[in-house]
Amino acid sequence: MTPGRVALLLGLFAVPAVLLWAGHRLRRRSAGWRGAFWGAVLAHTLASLPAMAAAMWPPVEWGAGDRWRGLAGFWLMLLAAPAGAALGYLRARRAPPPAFQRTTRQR
Amino acid sequence: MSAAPRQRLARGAFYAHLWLGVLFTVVLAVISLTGVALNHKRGLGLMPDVGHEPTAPFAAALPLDSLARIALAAAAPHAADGDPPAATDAAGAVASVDRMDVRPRDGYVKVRLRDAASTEVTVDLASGRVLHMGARGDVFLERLHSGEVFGDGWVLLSDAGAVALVVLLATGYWLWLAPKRPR
Repeated sequence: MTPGRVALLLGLFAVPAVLLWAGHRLRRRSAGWRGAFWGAVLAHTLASLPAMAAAMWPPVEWGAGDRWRGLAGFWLMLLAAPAGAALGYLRARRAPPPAFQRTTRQR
Repeated sequence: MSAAPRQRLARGAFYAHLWLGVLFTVVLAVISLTGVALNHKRGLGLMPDVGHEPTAPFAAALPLDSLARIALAAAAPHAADGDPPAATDAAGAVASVDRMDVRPRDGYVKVRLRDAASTEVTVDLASGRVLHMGARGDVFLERLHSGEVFGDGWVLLSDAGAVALVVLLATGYWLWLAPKRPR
């Protein structure tokens, strides 16, 4: 099996499985965890759209030299999730905590 | 059924529904979209619809070998980069032609080539005139629909999607109707 196909399987099944696990009892997790979770969910969902488009269009067999189609179709769903998680984590760390979590001094 | 097993069943149905729904979202979306595209392959221009009447009796049709060579000669200048060069001799015809679909009532033969775009050349059976040439997009979409495009064993992915869909239906109905059942 080629690395691209392994990446496709991981992007199709491993990433959503990890997201399902990471989303369990999400409200009890830290702000960074929640940010990473939502970032990964958003990135994976958005990445699945060009991945599906690349898979189907144009309706011809994928060539070995078809780099963009290979990247979008095989790798994007796998790579987008950790990138989105990293961005979500950083964003959550920078954002001020919600009002109900602030101390009296912070208010 | 007593309360505890029923609760366990409901919990199992919920988690099966949740996990299968999330894990098979993209697979089922691709199968659904390719299925819709295949249903409307003529309307979407994925499959050419060549209207033609026979120009001579079927007995006067050219031999299959000649028709294949006419098709290969017509397709050769349009071959995409990466496609194997289509030979126009008899041995090349065997190697380059995927299948020939003879339509005696329409008076033509559809010669499908073994290239990336599944190019199809429609040739008049009697005169050998090329009536149409173009890619058969539905061939690729059909292979993607079944998972075959990635390799022989990948049809199991499509099978798994089908099983997941049936389980999703069953668990969905269970989650909807089970709480309404009188205890």
